[in-house]
Amino acid sequence: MGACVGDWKFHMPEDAGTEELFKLFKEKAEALTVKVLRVASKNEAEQAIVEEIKATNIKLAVGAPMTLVDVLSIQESLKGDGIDFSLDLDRNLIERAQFGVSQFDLGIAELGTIVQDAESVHKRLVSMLPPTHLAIISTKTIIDTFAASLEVIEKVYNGEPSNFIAFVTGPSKTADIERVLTIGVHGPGRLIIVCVDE
Amino acid sequence: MPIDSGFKVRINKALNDSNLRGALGKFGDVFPESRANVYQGIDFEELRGLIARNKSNAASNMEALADQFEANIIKRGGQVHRARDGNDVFQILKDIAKARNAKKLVKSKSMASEEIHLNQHMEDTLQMVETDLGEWIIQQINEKPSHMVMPAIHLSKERCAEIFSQALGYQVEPDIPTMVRLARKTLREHFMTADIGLSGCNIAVAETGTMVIFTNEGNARLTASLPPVHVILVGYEKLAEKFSDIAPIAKALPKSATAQTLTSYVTMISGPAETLKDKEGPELVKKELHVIFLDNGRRELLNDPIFKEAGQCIRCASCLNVCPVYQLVGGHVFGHIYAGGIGSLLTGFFNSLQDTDKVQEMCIGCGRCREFCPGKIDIPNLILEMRNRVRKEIPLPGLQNFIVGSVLRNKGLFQFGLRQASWASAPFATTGKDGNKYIRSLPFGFKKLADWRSLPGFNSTPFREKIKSLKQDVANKKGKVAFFGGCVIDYAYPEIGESLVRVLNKEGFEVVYPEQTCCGAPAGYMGRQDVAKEIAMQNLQQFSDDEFDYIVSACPTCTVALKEKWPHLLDSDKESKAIADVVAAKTLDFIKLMHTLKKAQGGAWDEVAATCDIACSAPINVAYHDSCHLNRELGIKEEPREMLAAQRHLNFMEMEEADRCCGFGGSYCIKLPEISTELLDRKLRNIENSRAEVIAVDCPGCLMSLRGGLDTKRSNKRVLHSAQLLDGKY
Repeated sequence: MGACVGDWKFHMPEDAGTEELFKLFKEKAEALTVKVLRVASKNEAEQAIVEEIKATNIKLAVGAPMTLVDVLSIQESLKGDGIDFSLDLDRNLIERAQFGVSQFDLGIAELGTIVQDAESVHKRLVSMLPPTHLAIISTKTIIDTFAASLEVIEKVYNGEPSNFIAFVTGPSKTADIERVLTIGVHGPGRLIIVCVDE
Repeated sequence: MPIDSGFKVRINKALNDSNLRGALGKFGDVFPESRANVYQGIDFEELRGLIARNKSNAASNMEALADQFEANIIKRGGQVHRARDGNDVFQILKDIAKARNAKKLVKSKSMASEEIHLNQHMEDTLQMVETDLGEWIIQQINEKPSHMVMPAIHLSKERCAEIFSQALGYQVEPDIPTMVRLARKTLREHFMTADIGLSGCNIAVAETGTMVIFTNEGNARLTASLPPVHVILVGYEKLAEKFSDIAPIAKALPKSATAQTLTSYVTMISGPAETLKDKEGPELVKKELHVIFLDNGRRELLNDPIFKEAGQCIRCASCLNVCPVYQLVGGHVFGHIYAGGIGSLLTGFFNSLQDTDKVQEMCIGCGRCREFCPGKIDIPNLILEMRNRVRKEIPLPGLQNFIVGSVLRNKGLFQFGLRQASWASAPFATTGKDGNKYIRSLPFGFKKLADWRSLPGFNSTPFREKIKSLKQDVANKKGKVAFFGGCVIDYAYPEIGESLVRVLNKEGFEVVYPEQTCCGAPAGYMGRQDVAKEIAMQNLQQFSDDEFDYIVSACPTCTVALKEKWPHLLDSDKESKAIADVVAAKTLDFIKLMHTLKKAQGGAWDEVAATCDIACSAPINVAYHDSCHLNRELGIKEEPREMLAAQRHLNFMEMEEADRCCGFGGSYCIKLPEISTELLDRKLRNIENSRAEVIAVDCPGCLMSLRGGLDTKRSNKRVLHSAQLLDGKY
């Protein structure tokens, strides 16, 4: 069934997560003003997230449930600095937050795109509403092309894709006024991707 | 009436709108290059071949795919509605709103909703809020989108600031980042309080029931996520068979639309995802998902043997971005709801033939859009088909209809008319700088014809008479060529015909001039294929003689008529079709014939020119102007360059925008001189900026237009037909 979420990392093509793919992914994402960080472990990932939130100089950040990092440990670390890292599914609070953290399931190297099973409304709100979004992905789930990502999705969901799948490529933008590219309309104007090698 | 004075007023208003001209002009100029960059390393022909195949198969299989799609959505818990037209959509939406006691709807971009004027019809039931920035801006001033992807491209930032100030009730400065920030804030409040979200969709996959939405701003994601109800309006032409069919469209759409590798967001919805109950939660429930399938002429389009091809459109709007006419006037003139070339086709089915009547007349037929279309749609030729259908319902105005229906149809009367033109215009002729006769102004109601560029002085002896006394010395005779002269060479430039005879004689071919009349193209381009067909029949027999090795024309429009249009027009008559096919196979444009003959001789390109008429101490700088019909309809681009560059007395060079339309377009320049002037001016600027002394052309229509324009500007540059250059008549 579509709602039965499979684990993406078991359905990766054999050549996923190579150094070349990460390099290309980083290059393409950075060209879109995305900040790309790479860390070796879960601990380092948590640290990186804490630092990014602190550097943004805010009081309220929000996160959706994640498996690549321990959200409670992030919450704990930020408490000392007076920053509330909320894990509540409260849409008014999420709307007020300046920073959202959520986990993505896949990276596409040729485009610098990240892909998420976004059936969970919590994940969606956290990645859409705050002006900054930090996405965490496993480096091992970076694959080469958009077409390959469709194959992965077909496999993960056995031909019945999840109700909501989100592809995100760089920040929200518009060129509707005089064709001048302007960042951050309805979605986050700032995107950070942390790739963890675990 | 096709082009009336009211429409002319709108054209002139657009042409004088400096904001519009600036925005569209700049975009049109940078788009091709940015697009080429982003397509680097991708085989565009292969990609669009795949898209065209997939979309065409989906169109043939539309009903079954729609059923499969519907079954998949229902299986997931979504609801599917079928709407025959706008009224059905309004009713369905009203029912959904009523059941929920909904007050506000946020809408992410949907051209289908524009097409049926959804906002206007729902206003009494719901507050309708556009959330795409451009759409929101034009909604404030009750305007229609002027571009399918960039709806507010016609508005300057100063105008936008006025609109923002009016809408928000305080002074907003014309600073784009500020306006974008304010839009985010304003629309966020609407998102948080809306009861229904409505969006369009770019692809609807039957196999999985997946709807794919491409956006940059992120409004479609919020539309799909914040309100507890999501309604997706889907046209039947968006159906795709397989999940993997998303890939080629995702590869082409953002590149062809805005020269991006991918839009910021691609959202795939295959069922009702979870949402917070009553917007706030905390309880989680399944979202209420409605899919409305909209017909509104789509089934008829997709079932039409000819126009089915227009269903291959992926709505990238690159046909607008590269259209030289759209670039001048924008989508409010060249468009109804859907703009530009593809817009005039869709309008004919989704709205009405009345609605596309004037719009489709804007196409000059240069064929540039066809080169760029990722759905591989032959837009200009489909527009001619559309024009033909429109003209069956809405005839041309009196005089034009008389000329096409009676004068062109009757060869005797037609030739009589052209001969009269030669003596009637004679008193107005003046000798130009290049020694040719020009008519620089005409009296009375004909003023507009010659004011913006001189017309040629008609020749007193047409080519059909001249050839009778032309001595043809053919040593080592290889064969016989039948020459289709065409009206312009016959009556205005018989010297081009004379050059052609001499050059072909030198190649060992005798040239004969069978009894002939107009090729039928003007009638066809004016939407009278019935007349074009009769004219083709009047010519056909005389060109079917077995002893002709080749049939040659030195006018690409005539070549296209003989080679492509005649077999098509005579399709229903088996016997005539067989003859037309033989004629078509033997027909070559002059430059292509020369290139073919020389290639067969092992590429002895330079063994053509007779000694030049004037003493050629230094080679003459020559640039080439591509005629649209030769370049894009017949695919002949390199041949003339190869031939010209090889000539000893010519120094070949490229000029800027060599393949951009000169604005002639046959009857177009009489119908819409306002547009033709602008196109010609740009061409003349490129000519003036080049170092070439002579501009070579293969189309006597372009030649007439360019010479006329250069004469009006009293330029020293000259324009010659390739046949004249190969004949050494510089």
